Amino acid sequence: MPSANEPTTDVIQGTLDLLILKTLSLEAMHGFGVTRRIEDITQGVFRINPGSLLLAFQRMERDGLIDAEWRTSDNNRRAKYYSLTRKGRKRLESERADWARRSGAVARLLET
Amino acid sequence: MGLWRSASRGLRRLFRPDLARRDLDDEVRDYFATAVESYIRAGYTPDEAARQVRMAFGTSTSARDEAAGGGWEIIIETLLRDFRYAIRTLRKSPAFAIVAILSLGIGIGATTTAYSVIDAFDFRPLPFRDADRLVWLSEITPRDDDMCHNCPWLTAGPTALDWIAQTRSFDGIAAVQTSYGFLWSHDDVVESLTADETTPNFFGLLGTQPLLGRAFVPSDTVTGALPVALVSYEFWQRHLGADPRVVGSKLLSPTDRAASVSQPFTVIGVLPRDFHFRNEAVVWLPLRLDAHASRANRQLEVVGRLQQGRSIAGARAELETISARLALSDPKDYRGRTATVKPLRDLLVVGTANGRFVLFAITMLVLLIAVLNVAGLLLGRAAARQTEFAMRTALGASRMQLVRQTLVEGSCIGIAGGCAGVLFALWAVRFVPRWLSTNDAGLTVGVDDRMLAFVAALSLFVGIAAAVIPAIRAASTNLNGALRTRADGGIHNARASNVLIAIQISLALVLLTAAGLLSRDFVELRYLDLGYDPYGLYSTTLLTAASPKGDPQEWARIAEATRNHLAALPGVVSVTLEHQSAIHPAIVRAAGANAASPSTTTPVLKAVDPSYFTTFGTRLLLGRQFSADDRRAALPVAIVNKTAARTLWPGRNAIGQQVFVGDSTNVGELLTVVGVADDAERGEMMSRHWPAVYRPFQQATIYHAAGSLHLRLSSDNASTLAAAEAIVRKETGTSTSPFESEQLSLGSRLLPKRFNAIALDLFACFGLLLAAMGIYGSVAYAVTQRTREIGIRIALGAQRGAVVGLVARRIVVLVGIGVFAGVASAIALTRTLQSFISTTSVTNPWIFVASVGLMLAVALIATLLPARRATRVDAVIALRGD
Repeated sequence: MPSANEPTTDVIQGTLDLLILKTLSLEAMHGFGVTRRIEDITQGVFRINPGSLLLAFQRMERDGLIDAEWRTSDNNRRAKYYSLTRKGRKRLESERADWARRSGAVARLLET
Repeated sequence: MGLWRSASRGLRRLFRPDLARRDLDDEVRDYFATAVESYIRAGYTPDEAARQVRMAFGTSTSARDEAAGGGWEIIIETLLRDFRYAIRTLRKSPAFAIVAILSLGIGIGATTTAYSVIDAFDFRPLPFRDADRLVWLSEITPRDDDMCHNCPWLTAGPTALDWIAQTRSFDGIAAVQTSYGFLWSHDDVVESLTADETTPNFFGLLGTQPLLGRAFVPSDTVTGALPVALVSYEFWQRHLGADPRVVGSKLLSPTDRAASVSQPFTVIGVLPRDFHFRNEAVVWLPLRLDAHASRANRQLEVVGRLQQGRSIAGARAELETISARLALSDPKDYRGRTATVKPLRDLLVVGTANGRFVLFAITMLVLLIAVLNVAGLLLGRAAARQTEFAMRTALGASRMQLVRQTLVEGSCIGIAGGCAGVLFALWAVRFVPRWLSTNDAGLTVGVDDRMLAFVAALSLFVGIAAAVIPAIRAASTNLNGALRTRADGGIHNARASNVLIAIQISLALVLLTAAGLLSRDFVELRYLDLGYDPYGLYSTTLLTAASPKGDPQEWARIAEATRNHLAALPGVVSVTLEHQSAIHPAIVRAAGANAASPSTTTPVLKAVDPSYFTTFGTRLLLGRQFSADDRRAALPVAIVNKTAARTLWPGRNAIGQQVFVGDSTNVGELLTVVGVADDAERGEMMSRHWPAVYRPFQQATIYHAAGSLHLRLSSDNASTLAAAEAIVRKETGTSTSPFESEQLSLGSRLLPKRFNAIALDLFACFGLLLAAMGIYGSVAYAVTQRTREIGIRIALGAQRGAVVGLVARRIVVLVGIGVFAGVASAIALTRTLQSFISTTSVTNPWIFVASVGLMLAVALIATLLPARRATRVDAVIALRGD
């Protein structure tokens, strides 16, 4: 649970897809689950705007990266679960490699 | 796969928006409910949890709105919403909508009609197979070609044979000899038909297959072959009863064209309905080119089909080489001549392309005025809606949204205007064939998919163009200013609308001037002095069956007998014969004049009866009429018209002078001028002031067995005409053509001009109306905008005049600028109209004065009507308002 006092930041432009792909690569999840997972893992550094998240889901679903399915959740609530497709996994690999390359470059730049 | 998914999801959302929305709603609701639950589980009370969620994630509504913003279908959805909104706002101000749509509708309709004409004449391929490879070949002198680039200059048969034998560029070369009169006898009457003679390969070359039967073959032209003919579809329908067994039947001709043997033609085929070539020939006969015919006798139109990949320039070079060789070997017939090859279109669509483009330009001008007007209207609306725009901006509408909204509103008007325009064009296009001779080339003008595509593009463009300025204004809405007071919004808009009004005034003035010139020309031709009286005048062509060899003397005897019988008929006031030849005499000039004075035009020579001038109602200005005493043995006399008197003997009295007429300088006659008659417009408009020399029928040489007969009746009596026709039939043994009312034929000769004049008058009225509306709207708007200021001024004691001046001053300046620019462009542009005008000059200052006067008067009214409202502003109400 992020506290209101800690500094939070919007997701870096263009990395939301990567974060979603990574999160969904572990298991199928519904929207709020993805938000919680990202916030937990990043210890509240990133704050996910639900509008942007659902928009990203739609776009990725159309691109065939993820599949959506209405399921009943743990506490008996109907929720839309998203899971990674084969194409999504491939995309995750390429995005991850790309990210590593870029962040490495930035880190090296900052260290010198 | 991705594409398919994207398309199917998008389409589902477009067409089942409820389902898609419910799905999203559910997901958002679920998202927020789960979020709240997680907070509750973390120990918050339900209310506190909901508050925390809202703080952390915003409201569910804004989340849903944001989530709904993805996908291509959103753009369409937004546009549709914008369109619905635009239609709603337009319906709220129906007066504005109707005016704007009608303005654009008429503009688009006029432009579309003009475009359809240009498309048919100049862009669409001619209605022949592979028409782009069809060319026409002609012998020319460079001077002829300069003088008239598209005239059908003719070629001699042997020259055409040389071309056929010596060129390599062509798949084929065919020749046509046009418009030769062919007498057809049926049911004991004889009719004169128009026949063309063509070489057997002609139809194959054009790619035309007969509807029935066969085309010509080379064996049809060998000596002794069965005389055969092809007939046109119309002739087959009208005169041959559309009989499918017509092939093999006989067409009886009382006279054979060359020999004096009467011989029937066997019909071997019927041409397709849409086949036309240059004129309205109804019968085609096979033509054989004779290598031994005179090389100076040029009577053929020659058509060729270029080989695939050969160029016109290459073909022309070949012909020029042949001409150069001929000029060396046969200088008598070929010196100074060369030959040329041009696209067939140039021959068929005779040199009026300029006129069509002028028409198109004029309609574009109308459209431009309409667009400016709609832009002005939209601008006025934008100003009135400034508060609305500011409010929407304040509520979160982006500039982009406002601009898009304005542009969508413009295209709505444009599309509606386009629909109105198509209806208008569908109606107007029906008049085109009557007004431009489309049949000559077998062209059809109509509304087709090309035209609809043109309209669609034009409508969208025009609508958006009209909305551009208001859109820019909408984008720069100043929130603060606009919300606080609505007074200063007008100033920026005023500048834009000033420009629009000035341009409209000048364009309308150009239209007015052009319309004035053409209308004046028409009115002058129609109602002013024609030099003769067309009412009650009837004419017919006089041919005789009884002179099979075409003996001119025999014809003259029968013609005089016919005329004498007609003169005795009750109801006939007077009757006259008229005979003239297109080629004889070659020389008509003042006696003793220098033979080599090429600048003067050769006068026409007509052989007429003494009653000629009375019959036509043409005034004799000087001297005397012909009398019965001017017979063969007496002194040869002549009457000249005013133009001939002026050009043959400039500055001198024509009476007593002598005219030389003859086919060569040595052989001819000297005629003594006894009278000068007024110029009479007969035939082409341009030729009214053509010099003419008349001589008594009894003294004249009759060149061939044909002429015309003119009757003046005391009243338009059908039975008198029928009796007259019976006399002609009895005397000549032919039925010839019935008497034609000169009044009607004058009307049909004037029809194209009338059409031009009416069309342009309508365009000009429309332009004037639009300009007036622009002025009216602008002044009325200024009055509303400045009601408070005017109220203060009136309260402080301003006089009526001062108040009117306040709102009208700007318009006075604008009208001044507009008129100045308009007159300048009119002077520059109306030059192109000279070719349409025969009676007046394009620089006629009175037309300009009248146009400016009319424009000023209309501008004055359009200003004063709304300005007067300003004087009636009640100071108290104006100050209390707002």
